[in-house]
Amino acid sequence: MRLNLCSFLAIVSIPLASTVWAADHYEIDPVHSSAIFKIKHLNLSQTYGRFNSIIGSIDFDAKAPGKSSVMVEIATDSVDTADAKRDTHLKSPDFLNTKQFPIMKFVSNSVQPTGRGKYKIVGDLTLHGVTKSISMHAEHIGSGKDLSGGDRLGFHGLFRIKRSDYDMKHSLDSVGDDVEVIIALEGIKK
Amino acid sequence: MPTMSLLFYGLILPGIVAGVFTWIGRRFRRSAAASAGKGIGFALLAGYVGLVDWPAWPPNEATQWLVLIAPLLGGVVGLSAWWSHRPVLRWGLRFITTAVLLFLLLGPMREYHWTSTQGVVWMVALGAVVLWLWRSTETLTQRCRSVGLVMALLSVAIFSAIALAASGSILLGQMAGMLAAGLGSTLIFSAGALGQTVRSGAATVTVILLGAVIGLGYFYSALPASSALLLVAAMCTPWVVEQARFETLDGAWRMLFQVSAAAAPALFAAGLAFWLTMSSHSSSYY
Repeated sequence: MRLNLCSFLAIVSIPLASTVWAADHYEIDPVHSSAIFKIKHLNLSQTYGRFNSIIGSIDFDAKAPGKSSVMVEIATDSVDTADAKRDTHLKSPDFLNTKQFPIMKFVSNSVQPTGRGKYKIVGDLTLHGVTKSISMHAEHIGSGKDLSGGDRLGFHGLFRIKRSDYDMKHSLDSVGDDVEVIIALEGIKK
Repeated sequence: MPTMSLLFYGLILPGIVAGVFTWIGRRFRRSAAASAGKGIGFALLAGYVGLVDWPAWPPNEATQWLVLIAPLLGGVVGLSAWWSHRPVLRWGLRFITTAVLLFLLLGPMREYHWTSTQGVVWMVALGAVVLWLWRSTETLTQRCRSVGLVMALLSVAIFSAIALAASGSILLGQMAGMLAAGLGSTLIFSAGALGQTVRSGAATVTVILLGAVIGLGYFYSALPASSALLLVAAMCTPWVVEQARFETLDGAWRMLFQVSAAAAPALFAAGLAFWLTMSSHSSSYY
């Protein structure tokens, strides 16, 4: 009897344990996510732009954030700076070369809590055919239900890169090398 | 000042490099073969390094492959001309060079944008165009008066630079400008021996490299198909004019006709690129 009870508890606890400890999987909602960048023009003003096509996923474990991960893919062709001529130039071989490098991708390698709801995410950014490790400071904005009852969560992150590190070296004297990127993600639990 | 830097690396340095190679070819006749052609290739590399940076190794993108191949092309073209009595070797060399060039420059199109069938069709069609341009230009350098041929190609290169810059890639426009500067410098430093210089590959190398830059503008930038076709057609006009055999025209008029026949479609291509860009994007961006 005792052996049977122990066996039963052992058998039941395994799936329960995996349910308790697994990260929740969220697909990024492209409509409620944004990727915005700013870069200097002629070293005298900041120019802002955005990418309109973002997909990816977030695996978030609130109890063990170190087990969390994030993957984001952005279509480089979706660059939008509110000027069609400038967008055409940005998509050309002078800068993003979107026909040759249609996707930029970030895949996290580690997530470290740095405060309440704050994290340092280290991962690989692949841009313009070059992959480099970057770190970004991210904040968990919140989690909750949407109007249809689905679970959602939101993150806000910031990182800086030098475009020359990604082999984009044209016009460095007129368009800045330092690029600051703000990424805001909202995920839908699956 | 950025403008002086653009002027120096985009025009003056390529001109100096091509001029030095041309002068060496004239001074040391044994190394004349392919010297001017190599000079055009090195002019493109030097201008690119000055304006951007040394290409990555292995090259990260098609423009980097092109500027690294450019200096080698001079030697290949020279070898092809040297094998004039060995047609099998000559055509084999042309075929392999063309295949390698297209394979490297159009890799991203095959990977991301074309189906297998589209890839095969494009590679075969473009390969045929490159081989025809190569063969016809080499034939022309043996037959026709060189000044007219060089001036015609110079006008096409200049208008190509304008068309490419207007279509969204200043870099590709600058690369066409480097080729124009290199060819123009070759013309100047060849004074009195232009035929030898042109026969040593300057014209052929320019045609292949300019065709490649125009192709990069069409596939990877926003150069309209109509402009690209007109620019390639402009490069074919010296051959067409030579077939017409205007023997009744004397030297100056003949040259004027050769240059006009090439410049007209090239000018139209540049104008078309400007108009199509302006009509769809009206801004003061540049």
